[in-house]
Amino acid sequence: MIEFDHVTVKYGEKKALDSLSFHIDKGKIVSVIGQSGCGKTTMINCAAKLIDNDSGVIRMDQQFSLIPQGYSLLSWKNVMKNIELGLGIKKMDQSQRNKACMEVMKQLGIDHLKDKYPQFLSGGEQQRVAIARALVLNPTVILMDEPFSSLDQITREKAQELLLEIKNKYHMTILMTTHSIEEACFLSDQLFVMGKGKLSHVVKNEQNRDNTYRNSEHYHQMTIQIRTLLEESVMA
Amino acid sequence: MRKTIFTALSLILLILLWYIVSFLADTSAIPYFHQVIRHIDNLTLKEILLNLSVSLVRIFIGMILVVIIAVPLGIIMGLNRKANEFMNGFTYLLYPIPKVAFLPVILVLFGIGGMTAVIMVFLVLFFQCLVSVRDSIINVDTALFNWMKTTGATKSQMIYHIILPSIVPSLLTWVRVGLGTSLAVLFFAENIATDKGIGFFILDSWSRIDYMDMYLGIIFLSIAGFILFNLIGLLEKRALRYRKVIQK
Repeated sequence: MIEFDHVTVKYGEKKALDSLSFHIDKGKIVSVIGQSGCGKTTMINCAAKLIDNDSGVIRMDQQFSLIPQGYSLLSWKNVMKNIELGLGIKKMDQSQRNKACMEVMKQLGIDHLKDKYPQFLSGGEQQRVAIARALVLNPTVILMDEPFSSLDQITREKAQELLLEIKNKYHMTILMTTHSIEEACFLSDQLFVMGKGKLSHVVKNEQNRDNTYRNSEHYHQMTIQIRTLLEESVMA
Repeated sequence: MRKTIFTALSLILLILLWYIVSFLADTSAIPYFHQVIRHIDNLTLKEILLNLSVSLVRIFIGMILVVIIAVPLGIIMGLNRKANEFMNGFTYLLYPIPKVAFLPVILVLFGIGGMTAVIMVFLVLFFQCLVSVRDSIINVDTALFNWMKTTGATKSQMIYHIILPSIVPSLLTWVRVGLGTSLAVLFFAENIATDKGIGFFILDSWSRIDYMDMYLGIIFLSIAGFILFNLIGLLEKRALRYRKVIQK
């Protein structure tokens, strides 16, 4: 569960988040879409407690993981060490760490990459490592800041399908930002259109989504609707 | 294999160049390469190796002292804006001054001896190291720190997992550059402040018009440099194996 209750964040005089309120139920995936500088990343950073809010209240499950833009893998650690780092910080026993990491890596099909360094991985592989690093911490909430922005179209679509699989399997709540209307429409149970630190529209998507959903009329109509709402929010 | 061939080729070219210069100069001040090599005997070899090892120990101690002081200071400057702004004044005022200008002061303070040579190495290398460490920390992607914070990492865990590994590449570059610089400084300092060291040996041989010893000193200095640079290269290859090398 994630709840923002009249949350305001100011950078100097400018309000990055302006009395922002929303509620996300457990197990839902929500995308936030909006033009650059509308406050999307501030919202994620605020939820991740990386920045303090000036007013309002944030209620969120304490067990969360962040997947930052660009993944932030440590280039001097191999895949295994990157994934186990969070567990090491939490002082988990080494054998338990190895077991948990291998389990997650197998689930994401990256166990063969365990000794490789991030610079030698493709964008898609790095993305899976970042997801594995988040999942191994056993979170109930995942916060993602433009997680697929650096991937090519095909890899991006595969990564989106993987994220839906993970979400359905682990029943996690996911809050993510994106610039892609198609991505937001495919992934989201709920879609927040954001402008100037506020939510201008909230759109629900109760369709069952799998890899055939992209060819459906509903998906097509949804993308048109979101584009219109986004344009309205930019004009406003 | 290719590296060995190129090294051998460089060596042959250098010796050839030496012969050309000796032939053209036609003076006892520039003897032929084979004459210099023939001059090696046990006593000279022992003397050169002793002086060389004295110089290398001085460099080593100077560098260790720099690492002990400049690395923590550079980390503080890299992580703390106020500390950086405060220290910038000292750094930018003292960094541009040729440290050799301090030699008379160091001589007054520490007298003639090895300590003065070590202090000179320290002074020359200190700011190079400080600035490298500080800059490599400033350039670390803040997203790495943010991610670590969300896992509940403490400051010391962040220093261990992010800061220390991120300064390794610039530290290795500093060691490589600093080695050459400190040899040059020692060459000067050892002549004024000491009666040992390879710099002293070379210039002392020159002043005694013993050109054979002088060239032998230079040759051994070059061999020592070659070995050390290659050792640093190996260390770099091992420590930075995570990096994709641009060179094919």
